[in-house]
Amino acid sequence: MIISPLNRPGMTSTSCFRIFLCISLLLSANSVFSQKDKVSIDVKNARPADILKAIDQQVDYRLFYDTAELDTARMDISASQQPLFEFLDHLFQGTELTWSVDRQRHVFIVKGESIVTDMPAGPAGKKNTTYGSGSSDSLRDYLNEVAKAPAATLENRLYVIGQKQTGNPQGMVTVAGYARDAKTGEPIPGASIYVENPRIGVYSDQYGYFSISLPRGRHTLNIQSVGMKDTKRQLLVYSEGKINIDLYTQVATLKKVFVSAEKASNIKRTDMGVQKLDIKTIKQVPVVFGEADILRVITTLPGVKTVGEASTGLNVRGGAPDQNLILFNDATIYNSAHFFGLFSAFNPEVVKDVELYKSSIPARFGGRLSSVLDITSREGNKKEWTGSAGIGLLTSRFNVEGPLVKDKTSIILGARTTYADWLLNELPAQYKNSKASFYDANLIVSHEINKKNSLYLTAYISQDHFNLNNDTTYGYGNKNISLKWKHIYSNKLNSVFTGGYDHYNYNIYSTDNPLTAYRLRFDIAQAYFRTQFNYYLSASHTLEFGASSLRYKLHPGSYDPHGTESLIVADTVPAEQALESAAYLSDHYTVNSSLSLDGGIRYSMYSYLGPGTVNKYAPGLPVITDNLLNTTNYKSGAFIKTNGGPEFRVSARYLLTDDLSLKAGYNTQRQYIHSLSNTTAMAPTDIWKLSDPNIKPQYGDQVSLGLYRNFKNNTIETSVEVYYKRIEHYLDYKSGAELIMNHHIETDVLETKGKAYGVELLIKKQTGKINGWFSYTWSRTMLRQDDPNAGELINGGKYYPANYDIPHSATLVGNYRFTHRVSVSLNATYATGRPITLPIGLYYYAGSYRTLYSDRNAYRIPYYFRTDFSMNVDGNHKVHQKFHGSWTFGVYNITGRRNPYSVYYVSENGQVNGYKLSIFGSAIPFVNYNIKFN
Amino acid sequence: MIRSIKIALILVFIALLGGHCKDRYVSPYNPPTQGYLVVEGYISGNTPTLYHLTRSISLAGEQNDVPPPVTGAKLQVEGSDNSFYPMSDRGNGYYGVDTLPLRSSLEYRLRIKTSDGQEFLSSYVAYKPTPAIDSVTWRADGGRGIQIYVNTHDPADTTRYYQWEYTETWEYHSGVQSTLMYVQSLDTLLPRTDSAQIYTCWQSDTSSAIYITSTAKQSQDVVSAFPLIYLPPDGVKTSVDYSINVRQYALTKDGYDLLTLMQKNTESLGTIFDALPSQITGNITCITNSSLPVIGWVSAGTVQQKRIFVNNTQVPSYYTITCATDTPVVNVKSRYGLDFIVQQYVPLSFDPDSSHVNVSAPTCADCRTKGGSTTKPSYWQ
Repeated sequence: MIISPLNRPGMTSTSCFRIFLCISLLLSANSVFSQKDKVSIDVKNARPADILKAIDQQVDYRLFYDTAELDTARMDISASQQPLFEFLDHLFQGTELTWSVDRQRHVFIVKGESIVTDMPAGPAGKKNTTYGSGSSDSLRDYLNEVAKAPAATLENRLYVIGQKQTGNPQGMVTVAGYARDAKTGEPIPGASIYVENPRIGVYSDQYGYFSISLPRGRHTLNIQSVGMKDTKRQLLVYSEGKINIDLYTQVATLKKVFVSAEKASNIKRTDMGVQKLDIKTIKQVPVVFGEADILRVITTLPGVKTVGEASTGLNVRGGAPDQNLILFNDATIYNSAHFFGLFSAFNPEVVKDVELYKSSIPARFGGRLSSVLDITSREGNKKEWTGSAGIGLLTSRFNVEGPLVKDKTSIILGARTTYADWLLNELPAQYKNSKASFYDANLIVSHEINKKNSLYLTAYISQDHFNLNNDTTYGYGNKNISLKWKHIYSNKLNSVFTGGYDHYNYNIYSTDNPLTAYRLRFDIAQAYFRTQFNYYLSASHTLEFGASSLRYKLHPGSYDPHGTESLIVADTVPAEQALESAAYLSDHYTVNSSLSLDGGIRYSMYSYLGPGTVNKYAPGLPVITDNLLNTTNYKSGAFIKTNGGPEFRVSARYLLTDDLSLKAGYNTQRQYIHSLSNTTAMAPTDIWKLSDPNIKPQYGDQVSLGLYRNFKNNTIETSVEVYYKRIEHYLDYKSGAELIMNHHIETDVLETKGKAYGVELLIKKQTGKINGWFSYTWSRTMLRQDDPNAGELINGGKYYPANYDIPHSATLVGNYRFTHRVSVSLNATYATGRPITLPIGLYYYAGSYRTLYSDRNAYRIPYYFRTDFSMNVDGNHKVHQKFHGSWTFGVYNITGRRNPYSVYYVSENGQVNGYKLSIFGSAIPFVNYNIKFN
Repeated sequence: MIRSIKIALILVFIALLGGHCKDRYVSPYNPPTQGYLVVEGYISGNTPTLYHLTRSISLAGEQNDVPPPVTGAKLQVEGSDNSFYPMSDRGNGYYGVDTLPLRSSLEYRLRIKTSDGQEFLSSYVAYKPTPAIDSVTWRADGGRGIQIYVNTHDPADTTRYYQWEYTETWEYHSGVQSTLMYVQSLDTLLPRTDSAQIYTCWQSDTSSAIYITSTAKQSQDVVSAFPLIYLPPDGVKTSVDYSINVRQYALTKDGYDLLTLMQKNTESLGTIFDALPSQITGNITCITNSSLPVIGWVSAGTVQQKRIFVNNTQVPSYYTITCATDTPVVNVKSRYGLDFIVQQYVPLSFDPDSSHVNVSAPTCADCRTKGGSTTKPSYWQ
C-alpha cells in the first residue's frame, strides 16, 4: 500500500499513515480557512492520481490518498475556479471515494465511508465538528480493517472493475471470475466468495467459476476455501467485469485454526444430505493394503452402508447398489470395483474430490433413485510438470501431469496396475492356478481456449481378470470418454456442453472341456449429450437449466462356442436400446439472510426403442411363460414404449442463528435401468436391464429434515438428519430365478414396493491437530411383494428386510498430527449384521441331508466390528527438493476379528454343516511408499 | 532384504486368501421342527420302483444315518389311462413295486396317503426313456488323484436333462494279515479258514451330491466327460480295486430346474458371490391341506446303469495300508497270553521257535474295523 501525501513521497506503510494521521489529529488547532481553495483544470483521459496531483498544487490544502485505491480508471474533467470541495464531490461522483478534511487543511481521500477527522468525543462531552465531508453518513472503521491486513500487495491493491460511469451509482452489477490454485493453476471448487456488507455470498462451481452480484461501489471481497489460505480483494465496482483470484495452499498448521463463518457451508448451504470429501481427507483414512480408496471412505459417512468387505456396492439410505449414479467427470461408471471388490476403480492420484448427494439431488442429475456420487478429477498442473509414483503390496501407480501450454493447457495421465499373479503362484497348491489382475488408466486434458471458452477431455479405461483356481475365467472393464465445453456468455450466463460415451462389458469363458467350451458376454454402452446453463439472475436468484439425452445400447448376453470342437449352440439375447431425455430448471432463491430455497423440476422421458420383440402376458395372471399371449416384433427405431414424468427437487434452509440452521427437502426420482443380481454383493456377473413394457421404471421419493449446528468457531460441525423414503417397482427375484441368458427375464423377477427410513448423525472436526468425524446411523429398509397375481408372494406378502437392511452403524475416523511430518489415523466401524435367510430345517434327499429354506431374510449374521490404524511419515518438506517421499504403514483390522461376511449351510458328504465366512481372518499389515517429483 | 520383503508379501497374501476363513457356525436361532414329508424315488419302467418317505428334522437335529421314516403309508402309481399300481411297504419308510408296465405314450403320477390321514398327489409327469450310458471313464489329474466321468448321448436329441447317481465299492486290505483264529468252542487258536478271513474287505457308498446337467444349449444332445466323483491320491478307495456303478436318469426340464435350485441352495454356497437361497417347490402337493409343504419331485422313465472297475496298478499313485511293525508277541501257552488275544488282539502267526504268537490290534489286522464287510459282492471280478 502506498500512501502518498504529495509532499512526503516514500511514506509507504499503513502504520506510517496511521501515525501520521494520529499526529495530525492530535495537533489539530483552530484553523484558518485559506484563500486558495479554488481549482481550475481541463484534462482528458487522465488518471485520478494525476488530477489530484494537479489540483494539490493549486490549493493550500494537502491531499492525502492511497494511489492503490484510485487505481486506473481514466476520466475527462474540466473545472474553472471551482471550490475545491465542490470539485471533489464532482470528481468522486459515482465512485466510492469520499473525502474529508481536518482543521490543518489536510484532505483525506479514502474509499468507503469518510474518515472521522475529529477526535472522538472527549471527557467534556463536547461535540466535535466535521469541517467538511463528501459523505455525511455514519463512519466505519475501514482503516483499522486495512491496518490489520498484512502487506500483501494483492490483498491491498484496489481492483477497478468495469468502466467508470457518470450518472446513477446505484444498482447491482455482476462480477465473475475463477478461483484458482496459485501454484498449479488448478481451479478451486466450492470456495466461498462473499462481501460482508451487504451480506452477499456465492460458491465457486466445479470449474472454480463464480459470479457474484454486487452493488456498485467499493467492496472488500473475501475468498475462503478449506485447505487454502483466506484472502480478500479490494474492489471498486463500476460495471460488469472479471476478476480471477489465486489462492495459496494453507501450510498445515498445528495451532488452533480459526474457521470463519463462511466456511460453515454445512450450515449455510440450502441442500441437505450432501457430503463432500477432498482427496486429502480420503487419503488419511486407513484402508486395506494402504491404497487410498474413495468408495471405502464414502462408506464411513452416515447413511452409507455396504454389505461386506468384498463389495464396493454402496447402499445409500436404504437404496440398492444399482440406485447410485457414479459419475467420474460426467462419465457413468457401471462397475466401480476391482479385484473382488477389494479396491475401487478410482485412482486416488487423479481424483480431486468426491461429492455424495443422498437427499437433495440437484435437478441436473437424474436416472437413479438413491444417490449421486460425483467424482471430480484434478485438472492438472498448469504451471509446471510434476508427477508421483506409489508402490504398495499389490498395486503400484504412476501419475504425471503438467502444462502442454503454460497456463492454458494441462494434462494428467494416471495409471495403476496390480501384480498379484506372482504372489498367487507362491501360494499353496490349492490357489496355485488362481489369477487375478487389474489395471486402470486416466487421461485428463483441460484447455483454456480463451477467457470465455474452456475444454475438458476425460478418458478412462479399466480392466479386470480373474480365475479362482478353476477353468472359468472372468473379465470385465469400463471404458469412458467425455468432452466438455464451458462457455461464458456474460457474467450472468454461462453454459457447459458435455458429450460422451460410456461402455461396460464383461465376459466369462471356459475352455477346459473342448466340447462345452463357451464364452459368455454382456455389454452396455451409452452415448449422451448434456447442456447446462447457469444464469445469475440477481443476488437472490440463481437459475440453472438444461437438457440431456442419453441413448442406451445393451447386449443382455451372448453365449457362444469357444473353439471348433465345442457343441455349444450360439445363443444371443437380442440387444435392447432406449432413449432417456430430460429437461430441467432450478432456482436457488435467497429470500433473506436467513431463508433460502432451492426449487427444481426435472422432466424425464424414457423410450424403449426397437428393434425388439415384446412378450405380452395375459393381464391379471402371473407373468409366467404359460400365460404368454403373443409376441410382437418392432422395427428398428420404433418407439415401443414411452414412460416419463416430472421429478421434483425442493429444499429449504432457515438460519436460526449464525451457527444453527434447519433444512427440509423433498425429492422424487425415476430410474429406467435395473441391475439384475441375486447375490448379496455386487458380482461381476451382474447384468443390467432396461425398463421395457413388462418391467416398469423404478420410482422413489424422499422427504428429509435436518438440523445443523456448529461449535467452536465452526471448527466442529454437527448435524442430524431424518428421512423417509418410498420406492416402487424395485425388482426382487422369484425363487430359483435364472438371470443370465434369459430371453424372458420378466418371468423371473418380481416387483416390490419398498420403504426406508432413518436418522443420521454426524460430528465432524475438519481442522486442527486432531480432526476427523464420527457418524451414526439408525435406519431400516423394508420391501414387500403382496400382489398374488405376480406368481409368488414373498414372506406371505408381508414387509421383509432388504438384503442390506442394517439398522445400526457407527464409524469413527480420527487423525492426529504429531508434527508436520508424522500423523496417525484410526478408523473404527461397527454395524449390525445384515439379514440372511437361514434354513428352518433339514431334509434328506439325493443321499444327503439338505437345508430347507422358508421366509427371506428372517435372521441376521453376527455384528461387524473393525478397527484400522495407519501412520503417515512424510519426508522433509524442503520446497526445492526434486523428490519428496512418504511412507504409509498400517494395520487393517487391528483386532483381528473374523468379521462375518456371510453365514451359510452346505451339504458335505451327506451332512449339513454351517459355516461363517470371513474375508479377512486376521489383522492385515500394509506398507506403501509414495514419491512425488517435479 | 529383497527376499525378506518377498516373504512378508507372501504372508500378507496368505492372510488375505488363506486366512479368508471359514469357521463353524452354530445358529443361535432354532426354528421348531416342521416334520414335512420328503418323497424321493423314481417311477421306473425297466427296474424295480422304490420310494423312500421321510420327514424333515429341525436345523439342530441329529443327522443320523437314517432320517426319520414315514411308515404305514399307502402309495400307488397312477397312469393317465386310469391304471393304478399299488406299492408294497418294504419297511423303514421304503415302498416299492418290482415291475411296472409303463407306456411312453402315457403320463404317470404318484398318490400317497399317510397314516395321519393326509393325502398327497403329484402332478402327471411324462414317461421319459433314458438313453444308454456310453461309457464311464476316469483320468488322472495334476494332483495325481483320479476323476470319474460319465459320457452319454441321445441320437434323437430329445433327452437334454440328465441326472446321475452312483454306488461305489472298493476292495481293501487290512494292514497285516492274520493266519490264525481263535475258536471259542475249542478255546484255542487254529489256522484261519477262508470263510473267516478278515484281510480283504469290500465297502460301498452311494452318491451324496446332486449330479445333473443339461445339453439344452448344445447343438447335439451329447454329454461329454461329465465329472462325477474325484478320488484323491493314496486313498483307501484306490488301494486295491475300485468299482463304480453309475445310474442315469432322464429328467424333464421342471425336474432339472428343481434339482438345480436344490443344488444351489445346499451345495454351491460359501463363495463371495453366493446366490441367495430360496424356497423350493416340488411337483407334489398335499390335497387335504394345501398349505402343507412337501419336498420332492416325482419323475417317470427308465434307468440306465454302467459299472467299471479301476485296479490299483492303473492309477498313478496308490498306497498299501500298513501298520506299526512292532507287533507284540504273546506266549499262548499261558492262560494269560490266550486271554490277551481273546480280549483285545488278533493273532497273526505262530512262531514255532518260541511257541509264541505275533499279535496285532484289530484296527491293523481286521479290515472290518474300517467299516467294510468281508462278503465279496456278487458282481466283483
